[in-house]
Amino acid sequence: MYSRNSFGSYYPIDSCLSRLNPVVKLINFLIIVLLVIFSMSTYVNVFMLLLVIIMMLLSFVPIKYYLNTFYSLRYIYILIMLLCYYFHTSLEVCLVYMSKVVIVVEYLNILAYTTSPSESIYGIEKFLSFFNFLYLPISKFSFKLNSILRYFPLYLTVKYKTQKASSSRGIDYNSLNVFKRIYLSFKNHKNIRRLTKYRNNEISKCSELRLYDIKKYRTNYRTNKVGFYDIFFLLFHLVLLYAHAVEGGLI
Amino acid sequence: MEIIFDKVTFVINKNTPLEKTILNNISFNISNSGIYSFIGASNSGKTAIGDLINALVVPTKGKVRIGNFSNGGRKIRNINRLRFETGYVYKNPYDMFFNKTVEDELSFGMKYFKYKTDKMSLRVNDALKLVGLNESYLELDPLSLNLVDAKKLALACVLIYNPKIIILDEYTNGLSSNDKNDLIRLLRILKTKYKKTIILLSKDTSFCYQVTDYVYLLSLTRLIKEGKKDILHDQELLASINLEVPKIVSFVNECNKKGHEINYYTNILDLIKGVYRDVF
Repeated sequence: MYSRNSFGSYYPIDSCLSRLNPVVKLINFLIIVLLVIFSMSTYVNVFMLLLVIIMMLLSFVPIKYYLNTFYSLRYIYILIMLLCYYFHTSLEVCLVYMSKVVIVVEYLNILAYTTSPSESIYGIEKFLSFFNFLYLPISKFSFKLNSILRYFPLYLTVKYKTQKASSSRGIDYNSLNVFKRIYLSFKNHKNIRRLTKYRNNEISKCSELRLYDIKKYRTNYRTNKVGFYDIFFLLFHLVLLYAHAVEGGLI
Repeated sequence: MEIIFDKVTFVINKNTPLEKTILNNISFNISNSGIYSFIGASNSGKTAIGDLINALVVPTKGKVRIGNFSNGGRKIRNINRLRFETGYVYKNPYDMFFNKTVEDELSFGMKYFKYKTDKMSLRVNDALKLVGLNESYLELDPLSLNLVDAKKLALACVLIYNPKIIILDEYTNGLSSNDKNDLIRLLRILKTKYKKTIILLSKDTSFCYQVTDYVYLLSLTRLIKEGKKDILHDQELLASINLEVPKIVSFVNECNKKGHEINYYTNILDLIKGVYRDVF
């Protein structure tokens, strides 16, 4: 099988974003989510969009992968436009809502493309280690969370493999009409879901073997240390948060 | 059924940082039925040859012709007919399975190629027997099978719709010597009795040496040599492309170096007879 990149799958290439510490990445993402939820300022949203575009370029992942995701959200943009038209909101506000969707989805895309599964488990675990004092099963929880986050890309990979296997044994997807395609999609969905669950369990077991010792303590997995780029990007996010606070009259 | 590769180049992830050439300007021609081996180390491009023949991928440059079909970038008309005539067993058999039971898996090809659907259950049982499995497997989940049984099932999934060309990708990996002997027997029947074209994509030189009629040696995306199985006698050539010399050949070469005159034999029993005759 040849490598095939889709939404949410890891893109193994060296870039300054791939070298960022996963915990810092999560903190940055949290800031962006907060701003997307609470900020209606056009300037803040434009700057966030610019930041996302700069990060896309710095990730060295081909832009067409991001554009594919952008294109696949076309129905959501139309829905937002229709809703804005229905509620008589201004064009500016409509554009802000659309940019919010793009920011969140493409930011998630950047995180997935530049963070390997082991790094993301590590990042989530460290991020949640604050709750360790409550004796919660943090490692188990981070595994589950990572499985959930990686479920959709895994589903797409399994779907691609299933389509390839069924193509080679009698289904010509290119010449089917829309109704037959829909029928086959529904028919295959159950099997693909079953195979994805099976594959997800396998990956979890492998990760557990790689990351944990027999007593479920974390082994010495080394990941990117906090460096210049981490501080630079964190500051950039904090500046946006500050700008939002100033604009909202909080400071 | 004729297979022609005309200056085929195949590149993946083109125009991205992960661009990689899998096949580089490869040309060859297979015209008669028989057993053909494409032997090469890892990353030499064997799997791509199978994918191109089965029209699962499109060549970046050049053209692949399989009978009346042409895989050269344009949409192939009646692609199902092409896939029906070229049965392809994947390197990882589990990648072929997506149904819940072995029975569904086997009948899938017949159902969608619309091949003898009235004799489905009969052919399902026959296909299983042909590869050395039995009816007790029918209700099992294909993913729960061990690697050897999964490989056998993958082969049965292809044999059931009786293709003219059978492609086996790294099929002998993990098989015991008994399984390999059974496979040799089956391949010989398919070749002589049913006039099939069998394409082996493998790095198992010892196995290929026993069954093959014609050998293509691949190294780092290029086709470096082709010819009858005698080319596998060249120890230096095989070592230069990271391939193991067939064990029988290695034994005969060692004996001949010490002054004996033993001919090359393809199977161990013939070799023993030959040694007995030539040496003692």
